Amino acid sequence: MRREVLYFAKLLAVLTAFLILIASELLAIRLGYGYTVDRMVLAGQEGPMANGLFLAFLRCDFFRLLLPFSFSRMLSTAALLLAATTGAYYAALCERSRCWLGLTAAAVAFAAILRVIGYRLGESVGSAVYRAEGLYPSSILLLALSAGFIWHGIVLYKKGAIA
Amino acid sequence: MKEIRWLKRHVAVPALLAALVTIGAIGMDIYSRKDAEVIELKDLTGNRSELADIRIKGEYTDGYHTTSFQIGDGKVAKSTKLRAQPVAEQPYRYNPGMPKRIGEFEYEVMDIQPTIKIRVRKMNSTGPYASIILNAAASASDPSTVGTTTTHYANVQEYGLTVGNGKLYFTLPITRAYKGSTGIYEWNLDDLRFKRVAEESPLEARTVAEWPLVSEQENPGEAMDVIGLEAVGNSLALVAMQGDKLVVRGYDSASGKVSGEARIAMSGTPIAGERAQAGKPAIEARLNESYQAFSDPEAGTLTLAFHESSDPVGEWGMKIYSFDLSSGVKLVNETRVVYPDQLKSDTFFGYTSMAYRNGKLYMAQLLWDRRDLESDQTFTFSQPRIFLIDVYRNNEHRYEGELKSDMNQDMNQDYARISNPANLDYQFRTFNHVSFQSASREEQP
Repeated sequence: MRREVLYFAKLLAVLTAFLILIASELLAIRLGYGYTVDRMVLAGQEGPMANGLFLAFLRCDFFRLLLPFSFSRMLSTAALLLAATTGAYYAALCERSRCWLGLTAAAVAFAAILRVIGYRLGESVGSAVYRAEGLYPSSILLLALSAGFIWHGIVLYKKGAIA
Repeated sequence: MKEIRWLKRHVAVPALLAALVTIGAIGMDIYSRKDAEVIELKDLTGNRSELADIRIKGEYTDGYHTTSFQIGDGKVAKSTKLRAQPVAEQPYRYNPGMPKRIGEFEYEVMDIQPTIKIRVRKMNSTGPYASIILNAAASASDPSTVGTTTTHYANVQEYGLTVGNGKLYFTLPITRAYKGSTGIYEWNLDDLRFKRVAEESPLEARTVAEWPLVSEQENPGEAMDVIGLEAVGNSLALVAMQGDKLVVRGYDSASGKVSGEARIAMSGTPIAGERAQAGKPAIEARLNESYQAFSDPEAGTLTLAFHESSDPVGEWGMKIYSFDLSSGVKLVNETRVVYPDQLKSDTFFGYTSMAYRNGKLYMAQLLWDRRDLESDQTFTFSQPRIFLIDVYRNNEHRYEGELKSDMNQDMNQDYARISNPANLDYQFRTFNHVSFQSASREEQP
């Protein structure tokens, strides 16, 4: 019991780090937009676009990766976050306990994460071939891998196999 | 030292909460801004009360979001939906060479003598398509081209194709030189089988109506150039030229019976109104066969808009005819509209919607606006656009309003460079799917 708590505590620490990263990026976008708009207004330039921040979040693939507004995309972002967190932690555990098969699974998760991110950063140009539902299988895969990482991570913890 | 250790132990939970609150707050702030999209009706000429008896519904959209709007009682109501995935959607008007888009499908008519092949495919997809083979095309032939690889048509074949009540209708746009017989053919859209591989799956056509052809030599007054077929509710309208007359013949789409016919003399039509008053010479309104058709099944009317092929310098005009097909075929309205060249109609990215009801012609148009030379751009894509709503009654301009929006701001970044038309589908807001409905119909925007 004690060891599981320890595992989740460490996992939460990594997850917190990722969430702080996203929050600071959103904050930087928000403050950066306000700063630029104020400068444009002060310089008397032709004004910024009406509702520009909203349009930026809508039209920029990277912004929509950070802050999605539809269920399939929110699920995808959450799955990416969870898989990256558990995967990175699990890879470290496997390396310590010399569980090389586990490292392969982490590598599969890493490859899947890269593919999903690549897909989502190209949605604006690829919509003729992409389907809106196209992200559910990858989200389910990433969530299943995360669950596996958590389960096996706890097993490794309990075995005390970590040097 | 002690404080730092205390902080190290207790900072994690507040940091996690702070991150979640920041993400949530910024997310909600951004999401709530979707309602800040501006659509306002500004009166230019006339009184807004001309719009009182209708409800205008439409979409203001780019590839990422759609704001549905509704104008009723002189007020604009709107609601915005964000798309899960960007979609390349354009306001669409048929141009020769492109597939004809109706509803959720696009249609392409291919002439493989002696048969006609119609290819149907889901809109905006590169996916599977359904093929329809029409052998009946062999029954009509042009004696002057028999044995050659040439075929002559009065209009692009896609003009002979129309959709109504879930059914696809087609007639060949034959010229007056054809002999034999021709007809209107029908297929059920539900019967279409979409396949990845080109596979012939002949779908039996139901013949709605068939008639023998009278060639020009036999009876010059009776021979027709068929320039199109349009569906209005349960009626079909065959649009043809007979001599110098425009003929619109109505068919019942179930029984195939001719319900009536309207004829309009085309050549020598004197141009009334402002031009005659301005002392300019009246020219003949020669019409272009690539007309636009607007069917209003609710009111049972069909509106045909012909671009005039010869205009005086500095102007362009359209001749608009409306027919009532609810019982027989009656010409109920004839309107000529004139615009200065600075307000350009665009055959590719432009958008037009019309309807004739309540004794009035309603028109919504997206035009390139070149009136302000300061903002005049070399490349059409970066020119400002204007969305106009017009009401005509008995050839008299009763109302003009501009639906104001921020769509032209999307061109800002393109002032200095050639914009890539491929991006037009995503980044540029535009108006689409505008329809005119009865004001009494209760509906949410």
